[in-house]
Amino acid sequence: MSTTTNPYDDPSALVPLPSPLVSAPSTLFRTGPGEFYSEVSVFVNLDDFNAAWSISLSRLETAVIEALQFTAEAPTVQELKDSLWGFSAEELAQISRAIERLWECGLLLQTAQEEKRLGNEASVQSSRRISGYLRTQVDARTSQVLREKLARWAAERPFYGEKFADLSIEELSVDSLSQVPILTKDEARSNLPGILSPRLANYQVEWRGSSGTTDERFQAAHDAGSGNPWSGEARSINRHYRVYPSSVLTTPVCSGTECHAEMELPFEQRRNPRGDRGFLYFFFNSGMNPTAFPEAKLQAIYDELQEHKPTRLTANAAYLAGFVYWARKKNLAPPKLDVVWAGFEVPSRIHKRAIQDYFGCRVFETYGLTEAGGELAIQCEAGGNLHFVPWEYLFEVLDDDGQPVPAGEAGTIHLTTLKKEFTPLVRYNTGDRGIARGACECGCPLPAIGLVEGRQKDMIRSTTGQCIYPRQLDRHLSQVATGIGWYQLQQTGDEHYRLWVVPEGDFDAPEQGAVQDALISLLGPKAELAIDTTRSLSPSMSGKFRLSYRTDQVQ
Amino acid sequence: MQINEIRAQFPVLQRRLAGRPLIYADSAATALKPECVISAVQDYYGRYSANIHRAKHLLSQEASEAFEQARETVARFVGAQNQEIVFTRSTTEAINLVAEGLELAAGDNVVGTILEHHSNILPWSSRCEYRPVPLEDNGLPSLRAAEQAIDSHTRMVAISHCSNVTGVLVPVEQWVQLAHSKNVPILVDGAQIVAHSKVDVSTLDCDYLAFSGHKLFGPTGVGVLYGKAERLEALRVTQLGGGAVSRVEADGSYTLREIPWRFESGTPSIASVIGLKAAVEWLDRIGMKKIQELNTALRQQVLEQLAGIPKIVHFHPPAEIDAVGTFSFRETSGKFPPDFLSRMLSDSFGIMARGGHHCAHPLHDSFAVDGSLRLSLQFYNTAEEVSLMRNALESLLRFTPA
Repeated sequence: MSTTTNPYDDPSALVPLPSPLVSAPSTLFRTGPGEFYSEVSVFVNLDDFNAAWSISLSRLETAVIEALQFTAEAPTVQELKDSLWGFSAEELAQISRAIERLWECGLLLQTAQEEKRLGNEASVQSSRRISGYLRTQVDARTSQVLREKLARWAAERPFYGEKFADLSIEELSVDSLSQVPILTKDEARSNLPGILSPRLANYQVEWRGSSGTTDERFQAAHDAGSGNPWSGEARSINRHYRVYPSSVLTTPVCSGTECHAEMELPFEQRRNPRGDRGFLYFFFNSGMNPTAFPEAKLQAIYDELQEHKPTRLTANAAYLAGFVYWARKKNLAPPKLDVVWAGFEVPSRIHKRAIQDYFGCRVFETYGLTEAGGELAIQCEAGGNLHFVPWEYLFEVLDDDGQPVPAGEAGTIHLTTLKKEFTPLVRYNTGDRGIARGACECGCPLPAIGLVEGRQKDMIRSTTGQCIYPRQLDRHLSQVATGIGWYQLQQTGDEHYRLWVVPEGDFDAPEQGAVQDALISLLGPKAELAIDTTRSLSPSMSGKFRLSYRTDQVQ
Repeated sequence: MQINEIRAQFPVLQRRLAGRPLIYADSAATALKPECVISAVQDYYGRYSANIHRAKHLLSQEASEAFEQARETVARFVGAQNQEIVFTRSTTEAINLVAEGLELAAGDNVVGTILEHHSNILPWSSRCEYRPVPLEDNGLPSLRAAEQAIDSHTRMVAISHCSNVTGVLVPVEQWVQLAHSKNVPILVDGAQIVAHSKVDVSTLDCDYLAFSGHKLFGPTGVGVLYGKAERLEALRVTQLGGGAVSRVEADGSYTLREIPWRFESGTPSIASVIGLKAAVEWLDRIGMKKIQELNTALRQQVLEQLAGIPKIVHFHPPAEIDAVGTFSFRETSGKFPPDFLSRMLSDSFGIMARGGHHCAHPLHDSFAVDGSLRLSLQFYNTAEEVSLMRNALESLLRFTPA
């Protein structure tokens, strides 16, 4: 027990904070080797208007002070030190010194007092956590959760009881995960009642379904109002991840419950739809075809960006690109954004570049599945990989035999949703192609996979039979592409391809020639490639904008 | 023809999803197509694909003959004369053709019912006052209210023979009597009835009957408007063009063709009309009496197997009221919204059912719900399938509060 005197033993001596303050969680995390960062988010509630700010500092000492300033509920120094785990000894010493200095300075948290006043104990508790993990701790925790969850699900869910009948669950770990049988979409769909939680009746449920045709969609139950599925640890992957206020521009039909595009709801009804305290979301009305958004819709998006002033914009890049092209032509000053998160499908570099250039901010990618709860992996700043919190959402990249592929190699992404109780998916074949990764250079101990290569069903083949996924195609094409607004490459036969291009600027003989050469080098010398321009391209039924697919096979 | 023989003629019913058979329960939206219909369409495109009425070459004559034979087949099917059958794109277009041709004006009114499909509301309400009568407790629209609603400015009574939501069969002969007793013509929306029961306009005595080919096991893109010859003669032709006229002068003046061709300007959906002929001939071979018996048995299954499922509220009429096997309901706790229930039945059980308002907002409003899940059966469905529907629903409903 520490004997340090708390200079603010008498709470009445505290200067009251402004009453609208309702929450101030903070996190200390790494942003790269030897780099630390603290993010303090202060959420206030002014009448009906919620707002949030993030204060970011890069020096460790200041970062620690900032982190603790808003998190401690008059804890002792020892308690604070005990809450630090997962840092190296050297890091821990540095942080401890900062804590002691903070204590001596008497910089005590008033936030906690306010939280208590509001009876928000959960927030007080969670705001005291300072995150940081070693990989061994990550694996240990994941293995523990894995055993607990699989044992429970096998006991109470008929489908998993049967599926795991021959499995020694008590001996499982992340290293022996390949003993657990794979779950296909067909299997999950056909056995839904045997997967659902037996306690479902007691809770409010939100159904989310992946879009698309029968072979790819799947409906799953989610805890209504649970909001973002991530835990606080997710923020340690990328400091831009949780920055509010936030806006979303996605496909019109990405989810029956998430998207508002088809309904054309008025501005106020699309604002903060979750009602989460202080978390301010805004959904744009989207449109059926990003290459042909009507002028009025584009103007509305611009006006609403100005009105809502999001710090972060989450978007399907193909859709946001349509807005960017229009805004550039109109010479409209870019709305101020800190970051754009590109999700929902593999974004084209062409679109990412356009978005980055216009808004003047970085574009990161997210990866997730609607049926599993949205964004489940996010791109880190330093390494560019998709990290995930494995004891919540565990990704694996597997070969055709269900075995993990070595780091750097490609395979099919499988997901285990350890955090999801209502519709848990265990080693679920997502149908997406990904690349396995080892330790990420960003220093984050949370595991990662490479950026997603694309959906299996969007794969085409070169004339020599090699698989080409959308990301690979896009890497190739975007290096030489100028004058392309959107494109889709269709494979119409084993050696026949057709590239449809919606031009954005000049796309004449020289530009087409460069694209032709680049694609032939990818598709093979025997490839018969036709390049055509068109005024619009239609997304698929799910609203996703496919960069490539075969037309000579059933999709 | 036995039920297995009938089912064997539907290629879609042979499809399997994740190893399980597909159960089609969305026939109120569109019926499945038997092989003979698919072949007839393919035959037209493959053997005598040509435009009709406009050439004297062999292919055109063959196509024209098949097209006009289709008219005769459909006319016979509903007890009409050939010239009383107009081919349209759909039921919706057929009703609009009448509404527009009547030249309705402000001050006029049309009497309908609360259970109408939007396509039997909007053509009228967009042109004059629309007066929907409410339902009685037994699920039937109130004839008494209709009698009060009709006045000297009523230009039409427009009523569905069968609800696409509740499945209730409206005794339209009583409505015909009422309308005629007030010297008002009556249009019957027959979209939901013609594939379930024999409709004979010569005995029903309605002035107009509209229905769709695709709900009658035919292709999409063809609808039928029956109109008494004198009624069609009196309708203004609103869609003019090639095929509707016998002569056009340099100054643009013209002479209309006879009915029904004056209402069929432009190239019609020839293949669909020929496919519809094949469908009607196929129904004739089975016999509408047999079909009605099968559908009556299915309706009994609905009452026995589905109507008693706990934790739902349904809108199907009571047993003593005639109805077809169309069963719409909502899960009471709200845990399974109709759209998602529809997706789950499809994805997890292979049951194709429709969630939503089924183009009947006013009816759902009258039930104080914003939509329903609809299982709509046709005579190719079986008692075993109804049983599987029940099992599927119960396996999901156990996740709802007691």
